[in-house]
Amino acid sequence: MTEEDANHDIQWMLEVKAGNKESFRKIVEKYQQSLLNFFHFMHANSQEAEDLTQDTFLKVYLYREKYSPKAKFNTFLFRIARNTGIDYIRKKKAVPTDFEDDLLEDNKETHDFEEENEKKRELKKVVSELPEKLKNVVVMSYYQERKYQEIADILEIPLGTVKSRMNYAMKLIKEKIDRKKSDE
Amino acid sequence: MSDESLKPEELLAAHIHNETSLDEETLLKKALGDNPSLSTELEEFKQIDAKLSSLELPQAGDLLTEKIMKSLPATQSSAAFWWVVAASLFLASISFFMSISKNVTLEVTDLSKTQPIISKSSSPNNKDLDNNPTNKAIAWLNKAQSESGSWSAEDWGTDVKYTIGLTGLALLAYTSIEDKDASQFKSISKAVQYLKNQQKEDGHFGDKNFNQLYNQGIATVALIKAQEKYPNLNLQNLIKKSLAFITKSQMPKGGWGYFEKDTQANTSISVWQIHSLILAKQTKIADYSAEIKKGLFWFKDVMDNDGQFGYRRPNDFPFGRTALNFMGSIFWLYDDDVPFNKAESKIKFRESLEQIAVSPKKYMNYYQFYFLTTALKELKRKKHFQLARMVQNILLKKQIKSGPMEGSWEPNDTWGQTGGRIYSTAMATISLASLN
Repeated sequence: MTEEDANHDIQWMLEVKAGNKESFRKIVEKYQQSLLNFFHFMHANSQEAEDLTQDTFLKVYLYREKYSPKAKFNTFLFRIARNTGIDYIRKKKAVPTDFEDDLLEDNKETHDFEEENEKKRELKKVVSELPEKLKNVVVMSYYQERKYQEIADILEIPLGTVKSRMNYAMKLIKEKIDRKKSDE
Repeated sequence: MSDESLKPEELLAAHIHNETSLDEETLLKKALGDNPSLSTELEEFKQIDAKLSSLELPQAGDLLTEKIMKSLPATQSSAAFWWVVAASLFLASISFFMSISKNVTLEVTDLSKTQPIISKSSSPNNKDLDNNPTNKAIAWLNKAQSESGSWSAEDWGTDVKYTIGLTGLALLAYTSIEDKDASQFKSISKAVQYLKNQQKEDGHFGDKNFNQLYNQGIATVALIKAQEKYPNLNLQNLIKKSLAFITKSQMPKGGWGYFEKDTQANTSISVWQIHSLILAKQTKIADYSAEIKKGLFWFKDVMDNDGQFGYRRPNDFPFGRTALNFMGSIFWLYDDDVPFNKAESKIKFRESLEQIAVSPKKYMNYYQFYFLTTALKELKRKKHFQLARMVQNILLKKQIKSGPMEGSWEPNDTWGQTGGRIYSTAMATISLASLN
């Protein structure tokens, strides 16, 4: 994210604080995909991921008075998203069958590319089954296109930890994919 | 963990993502030259990187944007505000419904067509009446009422879109206490006239852009209560038109959303509508049994295994779960066929309540005071009664004792900014009245 992008966010949030809902729409349009991706890997099926995205934005709106331009909006948003996700997982205790349901849903729509999609589904499953700490950095990096420093800020961990977690996550993903191949 | 502590084999992913520092890059390059297996691992990581990058995820569309925008409350916390008020007011009905279900005759008589109905049990002397905290509150509400008959949200520092809802709350406060004199009835008549003026042909009140169904539900509940207390107001047609709008806005699955043609129902709005339908049935104004039942089934759908009601579905608590716990009261209130286990719900309701009541000061909200006083009293156990008195004492201490705001309560609780002084005073008045 560029400095200019961050400034836009701040400007929009200040406008939202002043009562401008249309500025909030800009924020929603900008970040909804990124949030959706984030929740998608939390064992949330498509509907749940949408609902969690909606809940997160609702909380951001309700907490808008607490937002201070001193903090990056990005960080503010994803801390709320993370807490929403943690709360969701705690309640749901991450039942993998929901993820399976989601895969089945995808399956219905993708008959033509069955083999290719099978691999993608496997990869999605592998990512979603990573330990939470590792999954967060993978999802934020790949599916929210965040720089490591941003991830560190959001997760409140040192930059070095982001690097080592990402490395370990990729190692685990590779091992799991290799294991599946050898099982076949 | 510091950056310096990372070994070259821990930097492969960061290298691929161009996230290594110069020192790390130097370290890694040297290690890659010295260690062929590390180079192999880097190539494998690159393949994983390509796979992760090519993964397609469900796309957020315009529909999601609209859904999110539609779910936003009108102003900060307004949805939560009405929600907790709704939950609280549900409890207000406990006494009423219990009295109905036990066939207790209400102590009211129609004295004349032009005078208010006075409770027969109300015969204290004038001095007692003047010092009575609820009468002081009503005196303040009298002064706060605008010429139009409304309690104007704008005049009291909040948003104009709440005026109908706040007028409904103030009206409920009037209907909750015993009459002191004819001035009370005058205020009620003016408020009713204001609501009549606001009602459109299809039955809805006010501007359709202003929290339409929140306002609708609150106003309808208040009008039914007013009609119950003062039969000579003859509000049946007004109420029936309003109920027709409410039933027309019911979604196929039984719930209600913010607006007439909303696509997503939530508990906070639905509770007002179903409350009004139940009240209308109990008072024999209109029988919408089928719609009530459909509504109750919707409530059942959002209930989790612990008997708590989610906001839009089970385990959905965007505004916290405290108020939602108390929706269990609905099972007590409606004696007809309900799709729940009443006995089980009652136990869960009591458990939630006792948990909250242990430290009432922790919940210094007017809605919570109201909830606690009403519900604790109804539990009819000594310890509950004592807790209710404790809450009542806190409330009495907070009432303003002198000056232009005498009789009101400062709107300094969680929802005060949204509801203003009309909200705090109306809720506190109903709370105190529930203990009389």
